[in-house]
Amino acid sequence: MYNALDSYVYLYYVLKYHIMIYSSELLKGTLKTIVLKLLSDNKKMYGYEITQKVRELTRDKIQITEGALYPTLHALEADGFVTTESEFIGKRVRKYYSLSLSGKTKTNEKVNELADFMNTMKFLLDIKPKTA
Amino acid sequence: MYQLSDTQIDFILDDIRARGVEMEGLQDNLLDHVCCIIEQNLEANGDFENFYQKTIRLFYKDALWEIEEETLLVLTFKHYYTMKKIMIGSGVFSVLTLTFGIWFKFMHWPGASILVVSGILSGSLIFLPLLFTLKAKEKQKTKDKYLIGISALGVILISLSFLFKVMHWPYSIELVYLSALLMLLIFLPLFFFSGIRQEETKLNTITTSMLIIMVYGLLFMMIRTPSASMHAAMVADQEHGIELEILMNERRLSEDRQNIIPTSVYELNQELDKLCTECKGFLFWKTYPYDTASVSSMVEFNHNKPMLNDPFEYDQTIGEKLNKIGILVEKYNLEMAKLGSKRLSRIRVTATFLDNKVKGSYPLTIGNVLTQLTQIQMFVLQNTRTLLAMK
Repeated sequence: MYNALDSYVYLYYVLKYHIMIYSSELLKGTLKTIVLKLLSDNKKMYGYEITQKVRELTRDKIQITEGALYPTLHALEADGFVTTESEFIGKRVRKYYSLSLSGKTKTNEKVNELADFMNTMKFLLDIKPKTA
Repeated sequence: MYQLSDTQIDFILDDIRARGVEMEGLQDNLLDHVCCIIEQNLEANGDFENFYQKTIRLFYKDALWEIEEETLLVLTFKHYYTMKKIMIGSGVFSVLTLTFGIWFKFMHWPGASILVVSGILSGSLIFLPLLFTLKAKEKQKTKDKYLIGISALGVILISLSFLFKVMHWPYSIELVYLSALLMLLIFLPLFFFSGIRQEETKLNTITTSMLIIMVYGLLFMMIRTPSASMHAAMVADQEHGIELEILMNERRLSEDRQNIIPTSVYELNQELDKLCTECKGFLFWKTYPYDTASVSSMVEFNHNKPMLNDPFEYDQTIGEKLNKIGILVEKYNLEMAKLGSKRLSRIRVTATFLDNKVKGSYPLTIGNVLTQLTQIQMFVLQNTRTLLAMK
């Protein structure tokens, strides 16, 4: 699990060695789907946990910024797709996010939509599937 | 693994607040996030202050409050579409009702005023505010947002003043003045001097400013100035006074011999004259006390604010009286026809308040109705003199 490098140093490496990370532009339309899917696989998660989980699963290729994650989480909450519960960790409050009933339906919808989109893009951009 | 102390947590929270993040939920989220990073990545004896500053710097491009702004933007984005839908809906509704309203008005069909009122109201109270709110949202600078707000108010006031004008409600002129005050004295200078400084907006600013001045200039050309309306009202009052004096003279000429004419005509005369006087009194009493019998009070009412150019509105009391006059006039004209002399005049009905076509569809002023009532009385008195001469 990623914890050896602090973010600052990590970014330094990214800039220096051009490790491929997807542009925020590319991620913008998929962030909601990513968050919803993670929440459906893990009962409840907090913000930091989500960013770390994504890094771990994508081997650092997808790095969700705080500036993108929290607006998305707040929007999902306002839409009623996720519910929150607060827990005190010492002096600070940790907000756990979990899927609501409508959020579960929405997750399926979003994942299917994205899968379909990916197929269409493959076709459109003529990407040959890599056979393992 | 670093262990954060309570003081350090307070320090971080204070710093997040100081950087302009105001939403409590977001403060908690960011605080927990930073704390997690520090606890996970800083060695037990590391430099907290330095590490914190480096970490928080990675959260944003220019300032931390960008996250809050983005959050608010995402949250209002949902409303954005609803607002846009309502805006377009109300705009279409307003344009349609207004178009049909004007058409109905031209054709003198019923329902015209309801259509016009709902068209202007939805246009100025739903469509325009939404349009300007959405426009203001697109602007970055607070100053631009205020400018859009002021211009919105200016346009809405103009639109409402037209509504007040067509509905004959008071203060329609005052709304135009207020709008002109806002637009010409507050909006225009701010808009002009902020736009002219930048090369790319310079031309646009100059042309828009000229257009605004032109529109208000043309608008004021259409408006009768207060002194002009005062003058018109004084003329109307004067005319009414002259009419009354002529009527009194005419009455004096046949006063003592009226009972010589045929009884049927005499009774009709009396009834018509009484009703007309009553109606005139009623029209005046609604505005100020006035005794139609005495000419001396003319001086008195000339000092009051003249109301003769105000629109005449049918209400039940006056409507009943005028209907009675209508029936009597019909009877009177028949009676005159019976007497069979070409020298006897018939009381004219066409295009007066007695004309059913006029009722409610053509505007009459109070002065019009007063004059028409006096004319009925004059016809009656002149026919009386003709009858006396025929004896």
